[in-house]
Amino acid sequence: MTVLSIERIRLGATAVDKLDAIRQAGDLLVSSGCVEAGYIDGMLARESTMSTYLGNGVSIPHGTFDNKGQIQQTGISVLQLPAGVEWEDGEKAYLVIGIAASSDEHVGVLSSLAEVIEDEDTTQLLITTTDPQVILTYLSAEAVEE
Amino acid sequence: MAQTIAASEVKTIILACEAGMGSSLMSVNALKKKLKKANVDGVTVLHKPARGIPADAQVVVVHKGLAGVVRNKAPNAVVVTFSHFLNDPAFDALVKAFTDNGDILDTGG
Repeated sequence: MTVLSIERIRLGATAVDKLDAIRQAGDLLVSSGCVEAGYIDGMLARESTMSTYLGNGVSIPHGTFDNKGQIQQTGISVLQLPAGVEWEDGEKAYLVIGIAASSDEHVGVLSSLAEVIEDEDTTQLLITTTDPQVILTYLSAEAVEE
Repeated sequence: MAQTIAASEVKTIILACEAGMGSSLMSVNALKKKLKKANVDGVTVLHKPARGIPADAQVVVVHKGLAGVVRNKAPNAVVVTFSHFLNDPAFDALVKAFTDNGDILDTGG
């Protein structure tokens, strides 16, 4: 099983607010068999104590230490919100990356994500693309150039 | 508690996380990259959960939301806090302490 797969990518989504966006990113993890439904509550709890907004329109909601038992397999979901949703004061998130990690398998995807965020053109491409394959290509673990 | 430590005495920086699933991993990478770019070697960045920080830690870098946990675990450590996981001025200040042979200041409050 791969960490990031087409079934965990939803493009052209809309969210009424941050909590809605987190639930949707979490639902993709639930429906694809990565986590139990209760994990989403952990994602919401974590966000209320520490924001997972990374910058450049990207946030990475995930559960807390206490939720690790609810993870069935390591997985990452991608919710694309072309219109964005306010995440922090004056900062909107357009890519919401849900994370459930019980091992280090996802570290490659996170490294790729870090590279993407450093480049505004690439980030913009991922925010606007209508082809999930583009997301897979840029965020696959192999995409990082050392 | 205004603690400081000379950067030249520091061999290990601990980056503390909560669950270690996402955001702190981004910070570990960002900090390592900045140190490498500044040609700082001889210092290791370790990733550890805040609840498991060793009491003798020298410098602990942590999101401001977790600073209290770290302070309890390692009262004598210099605690450097940040708010942004990828590009926080605190990372640059930390790197500068190494390149300038300066002191690392506790910002953990």
